[in-house]
Amino acid sequence: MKDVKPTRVLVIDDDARSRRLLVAMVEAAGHLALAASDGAEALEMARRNPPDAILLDVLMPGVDGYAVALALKAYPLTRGVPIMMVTALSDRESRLRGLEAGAEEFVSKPVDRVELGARLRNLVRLKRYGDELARRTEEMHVLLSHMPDAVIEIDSCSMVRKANAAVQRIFGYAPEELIGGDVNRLMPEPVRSEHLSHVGRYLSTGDSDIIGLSREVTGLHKDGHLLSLELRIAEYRAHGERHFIGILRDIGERKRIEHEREHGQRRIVSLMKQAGDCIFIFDADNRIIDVSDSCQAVYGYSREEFLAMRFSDLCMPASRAECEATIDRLRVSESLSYQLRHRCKDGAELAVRVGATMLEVDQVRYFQAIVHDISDAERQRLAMERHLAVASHRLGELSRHLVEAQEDARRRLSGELHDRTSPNLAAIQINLGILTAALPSSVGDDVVTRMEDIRALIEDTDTSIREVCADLRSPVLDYAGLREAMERYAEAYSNRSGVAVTVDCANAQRRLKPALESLLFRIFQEALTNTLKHAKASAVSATLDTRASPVALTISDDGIGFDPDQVGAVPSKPGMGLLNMREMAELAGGQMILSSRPGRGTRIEVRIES
Amino acid sequence: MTRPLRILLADDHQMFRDALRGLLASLPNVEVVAETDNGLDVVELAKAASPDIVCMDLGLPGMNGIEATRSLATACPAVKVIVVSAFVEKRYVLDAFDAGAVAYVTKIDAGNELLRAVEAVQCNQKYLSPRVATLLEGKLSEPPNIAQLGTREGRVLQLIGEGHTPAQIAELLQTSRSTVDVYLRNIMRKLDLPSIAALTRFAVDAAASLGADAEL
Repeated sequence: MKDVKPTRVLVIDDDARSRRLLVAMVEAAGHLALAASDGAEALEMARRNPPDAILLDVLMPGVDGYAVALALKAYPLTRGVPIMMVTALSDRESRLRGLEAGAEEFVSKPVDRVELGARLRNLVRLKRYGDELARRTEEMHVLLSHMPDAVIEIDSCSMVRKANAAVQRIFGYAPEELIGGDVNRLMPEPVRSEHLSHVGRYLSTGDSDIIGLSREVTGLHKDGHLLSLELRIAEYRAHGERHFIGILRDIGERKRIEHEREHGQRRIVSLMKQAGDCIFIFDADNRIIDVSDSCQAVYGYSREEFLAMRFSDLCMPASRAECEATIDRLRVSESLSYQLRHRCKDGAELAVRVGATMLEVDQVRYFQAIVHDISDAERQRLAMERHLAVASHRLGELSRHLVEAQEDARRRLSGELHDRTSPNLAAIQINLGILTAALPSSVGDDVVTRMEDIRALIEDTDTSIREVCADLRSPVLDYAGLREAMERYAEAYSNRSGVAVTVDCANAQRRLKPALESLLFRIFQEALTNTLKHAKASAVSATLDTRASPVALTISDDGIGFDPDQVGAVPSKPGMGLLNMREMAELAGGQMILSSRPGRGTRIEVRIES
Repeated sequence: MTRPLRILLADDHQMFRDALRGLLASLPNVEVVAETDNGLDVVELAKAASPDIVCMDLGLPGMNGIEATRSLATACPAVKVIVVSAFVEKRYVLDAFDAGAVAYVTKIDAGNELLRAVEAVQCNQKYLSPRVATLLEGKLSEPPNIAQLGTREGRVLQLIGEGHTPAQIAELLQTSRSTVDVYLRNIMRKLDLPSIAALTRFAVDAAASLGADAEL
């Protein structure tokens, strides 16, 4: 490679004529010449910008050539610059002094131009080699000190000659601690003894199964713990001696990972053998590639049969497309859980819950599905639902029966009072009147007033019976229908309470089934009773629409209202005997809508199919 | 002497029928010519016995009193029907009159009221016993009529007006406290007074006006 930078040569001579001559010769040889006229100036220039070579006159006044050479060789930046001394004589004495002072080359005065050029060229080349060697040595040093692996050089006696910085990290020793000592301190027994026999055998026979190969060895750390190492040995000879270089890599972490992986695999194998749930592994095409042992017991397929199937083949044929779509979703969501029905080899159906996960190993996607048989749970749930439905149906029947029985009891009691008790009283009253009229005038006032007391009692009793009857069972309801009964009840209610009640009926002529009429009437009564108890209302409006089915009964008041959400908090009193309005409506297959707000009155709407 | 008034009793309650017969027997020149406990027999009996008046219960088996009245109005239009019923319901009263009845008397008041009704219908008037009249008119716009009160009731009202407590009244009338309460309830109902307070106010006003009348 051609040097682009010209070689700089510093010429040092106190004699101006001689100096000019040397400068001319240097330049003629193709170098760049710099000139200094005394030792002090020369040292100053060389230290500021070290030249590639120095041409130094020995005989100078003040600081002479020997002193300049000594000073240059003592200073680190200029130490490597080769010095050629110019001596007046070719005497042995001054050359020896020059060598001692550090000069590399000599030339005698008078200087021969050709000889100077040739010697100068050699000198510069030498300087280049020196520089290159220093650079490479430095490079090697940097490389070794930054290597993660320990590099240890030993001689044939196993003595450590060199060690890089990594030995400290791996073995705990500083390189200086190892150098000069036996390498076997880094080996535990029995490796130490084996090492000796290996070396012995190699040195005597040349047989080696270690040079150039890597193998795993056990090392000994400074603090006594064992190390997993990978060792490579290289050999070189220098000056007739054999040197071995060992490169040691700490593979403890790698061993640990390998161990864990192996352990994990063993766990997976045992899981696949023993898991109670069925585990399926399948690939991106849905093909089953592994199954847990329980799959065979649950589904009845052999392992080989499974491995020839797709995971979606287990679904019921009707839901296979859906199943595949679900698995497709897995590619996006990585993990999901769903329920569906599978089919066994013998055709039996299974209700299963599937928890599926996507796994990616070396950029290949696998899917893992854990299938849990929930058939038992589902059967139990269905059975429970059936029981509940039956119980609820029976409860409904009982409640309806209760309502009917209650209504029947009311009817009978009211009939009894009306048809027997009330006429009895009327008969007594008439007979009493007859008796009173028949009393002789001689009878005292005492008897007359007693008779009047009795008549008053009978009248009061009759009134009370009439009120009880009206409450038990409106005779008008049977005779004239719901509208009439509501209107009469409303009138009596208004008279009693002072609350104005209006009753509006659309298509009042239409008679409903007796049971429905009495139900609606009861709800109407209950609503009015509640209004009186709680609402502080001044007016109530009731509308009945029987034009279509469902029949609608609405009762609204202008009272204080309430927050319907709070109703459940206080158990409602058993208003209408045993059942409240909502239950009554629902038992009849209808519904009740309650709307109210504090300060905004209350509205009850009941809709029942007629 | 005029022909006796011929009456047919239609009521399924025998004791009440007996009581009515006894009541009517106290009137001069009245004869109960036939009785039945069934609505279906009314027309046949009326044709056979030619009554002037039929005392008709409404809750008759076979055919109810209103239907029986309607049939009778067609078959024997001259026969006057007085309904004697335990029902105090507007609808029954209206339907009964619609079917052709001319009077409506509540059973409990029949002791006095049936006789008044008989008198009224004999003069071709229609008659409603007070309880029924109140029902049809709603609340009376006229001031309550104290004439419908009995002797003892009037006395209790007077004592209230004079500022006596029910306990004092019981003592004065030599009767029990609960009997006084019975009277108070009966008065309130007859005069359509909604509360004891209203009754007291009415009694005080009545006492004052009676006092004023006495001074005139």
